[in-house]
Amino acid sequence: MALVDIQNLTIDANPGQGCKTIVNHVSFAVPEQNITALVGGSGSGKTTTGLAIMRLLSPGLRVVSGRIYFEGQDLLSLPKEALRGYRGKQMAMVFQEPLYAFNPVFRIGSQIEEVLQFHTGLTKGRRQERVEELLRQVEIRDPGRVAQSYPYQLSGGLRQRAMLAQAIAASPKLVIADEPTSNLDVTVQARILMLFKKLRDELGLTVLIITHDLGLVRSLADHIVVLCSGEVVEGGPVGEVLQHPRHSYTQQLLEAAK
Amino acid sequence: MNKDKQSLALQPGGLRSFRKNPWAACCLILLGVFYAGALLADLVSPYSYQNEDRNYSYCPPMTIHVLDEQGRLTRPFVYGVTITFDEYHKRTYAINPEEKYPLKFWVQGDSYQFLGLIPASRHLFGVDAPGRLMLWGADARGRDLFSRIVYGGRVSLSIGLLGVAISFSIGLLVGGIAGYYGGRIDDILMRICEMFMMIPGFYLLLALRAMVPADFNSVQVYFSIVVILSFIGWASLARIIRGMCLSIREREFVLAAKVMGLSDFRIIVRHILPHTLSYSIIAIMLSIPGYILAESALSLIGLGIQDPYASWGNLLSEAMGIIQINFSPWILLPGFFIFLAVMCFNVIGDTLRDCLDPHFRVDDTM
Repeated sequence: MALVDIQNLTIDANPGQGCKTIVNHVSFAVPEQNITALVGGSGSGKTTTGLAIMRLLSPGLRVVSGRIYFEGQDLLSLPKEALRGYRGKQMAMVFQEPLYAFNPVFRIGSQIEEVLQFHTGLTKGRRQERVEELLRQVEIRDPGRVAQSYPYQLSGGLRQRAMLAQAIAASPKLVIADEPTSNLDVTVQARILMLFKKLRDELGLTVLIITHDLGLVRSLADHIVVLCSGEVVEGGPVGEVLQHPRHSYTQQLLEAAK
Repeated sequence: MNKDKQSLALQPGGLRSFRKNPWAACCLILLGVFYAGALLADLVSPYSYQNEDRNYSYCPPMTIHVLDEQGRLTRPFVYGVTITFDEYHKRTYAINPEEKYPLKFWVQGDSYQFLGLIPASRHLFGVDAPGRLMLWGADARGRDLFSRIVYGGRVSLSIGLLGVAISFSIGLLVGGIAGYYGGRIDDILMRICEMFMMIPGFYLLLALRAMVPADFNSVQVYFSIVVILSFIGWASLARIIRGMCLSIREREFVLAAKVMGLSDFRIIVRHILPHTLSYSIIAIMLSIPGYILAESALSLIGLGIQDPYASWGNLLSEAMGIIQINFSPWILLPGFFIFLAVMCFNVIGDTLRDCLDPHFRVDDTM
C-alpha cells in the first residue's frame, strides 16, 4: 500500500514570464514502511519534488497540474491550516546540512522540544524525558550533553542524528531525507544509513531518500525512482532496476558510480 | 565549557569591553546610581516633591559646613537663613550664624509609602525642623530642588524604558510580519510605517498630545505620554527589522521550522526575531535618549507632566525666563541631569555596538 502517491505532478518556475518546467508529469508511489530512493543528477527536480510533498515550494515555483495523495488525502487541495497538522506530525524532513537546518542561537534540546510542544500535549518534564529518549533512539550515547549543545558545537554526524531525532519527534509516518549523507565521511555515512534502516524496522517509518549516490541506494533502499530533467525515466524495486537498467540515463549513472 | 553556558548574543567579550573601557563603565555606574535614586526617591530625598515653604522661594543652594566659627572640626551642619528684602523688593538670603542645624541621617520627615507598600517617614538624610536643607537650592515655590530632581528622575528615566519597550514590541512585530510574509502584507505595513515617518516627529507629538483629554490625572497623563512617544518611534525600527527578516527568512532553519509544522507566529517570534537581537539591543540603547528628550521637550513647553509632579523637563520649564536664570542659576540643574542620562545611554549603546556587532568593529585589528 502506498503512503504517498504522486500523480502527474508538473511544477513550473516563474509561471507567466519565461516559464520553465522543473518537474514534468512525474508519477510515482512511495510504499509504506519502505525506503524509497529518488535518484537523479543536479537539477533533475528531485529536491523540488520533495518540497512539493511538504507543500513548501519557494515562491517562484508553482504546481500547475497533478495530485499528491498522502494516505488517500490530496495534499495540494488542503487549506493552509490543515497542512500544519501534516507537517511535523505526519511527515518530516531531514536536510543535507543540519548545521543550517538548526537555528544557531538555540540549544539542540530546546529545538527538538519545541516540536514536541507544538504537536503533543506533553508536560515540560515529560518533553525533556522524551527528548533524551529520542536522542538515544538515534544512537546518541550522551543525550544529555547533546541536548545542551548548540548546533555548531557538534560534529556533522551527531548533528545529522539530532536532526533525525527532531524529524521523528512527533512520530510522523513519512520522513523525506534530502541528501542526508552527502556532507559526511564514508564511515559516518554507513552508520547513518543503518540508522534509517533501524528506524524503518522499529518505528515502521516510511522514508523517501533524495540522493545522487547509487552506492547508497543499493545498500539502503527498497525502491528506486530515477529522475532525469524533471521526468521519471525508470522506477521499481532496487535490485531489479540496478541489475537490468532499461534507460540509458540509469546506465550512465551506474557507469559513473563504478 | 563555561563559555557554552552563556547565550550567544552576550559572549564574555561583551562584558570585557566594558571593563576595558573605563568611560563606558563610569556611565554604567552613573546610570545605575540614577535608577537606584529614582526607585528609592522617597527615601533618598529629604523632602517630598510637593513639600513647599514659600519663605524659601529661590533660596540658593546651602553649603554644608564641617568647621565651626572657631575653625574646629564638628559634625556637618547647615546654617539657618534669614530673609531680607533689598531696595528693589528682591529677596536676599543671608546666613544666620545663631542657627545651626546638624546634618542627620535617618531623620523623621514627610511620610510616604516605601516602594508603594510600606508606610514610612524616615529619610536617608536631612535636618531637624525648623531648619531646612536646600542642598541644591529651591524653586519659585520654595521646594527643595534636590528632592524634586530625584523624584523627577522617576518620570524621566522610566519613560525611556517604557516607551522603548512598547515601541520596540510593535516595531519588531510589524517588521517581523512584513519581512516574513512579504508581498502585499509587506507593502501595506511599510506604507503605514512611511506615513508615520513622513510627519515631522514633533508635530505628531503635539497633535497626539492634543487628543489626550485635559482632565486626565497625572498617572493617566504619564501613560498617555508613554503611548504617544512609542507611537512615533516604532516605524523606523520596523523598516530595519523588516529588511533583516527578508534575508533571515531565506535561511534553511526557517524552512526546517516550517517543515516541522510550526505556526507562522512562532517562526517569526522564536526563530527569526532572535537573529535581529544584536542589532535591536544597540538600537534600544541608542533610542532611549530620544524618549527622555522628547518627554523633556513636552514637559518643557507645558504639555507633559504637570506641576506639582516633577520630571526633569518640567523642572527645567521654570528656567525659561532670563531673570530666573540670572538670579537663580541653580534651577538649570535638571538640564544637566538630562544631559548626563542621555550621554550615558549613548556611550553604553556605542560600547555595546562595538562588542555585539562585529561589522562596526574597526579598532580590533590595530
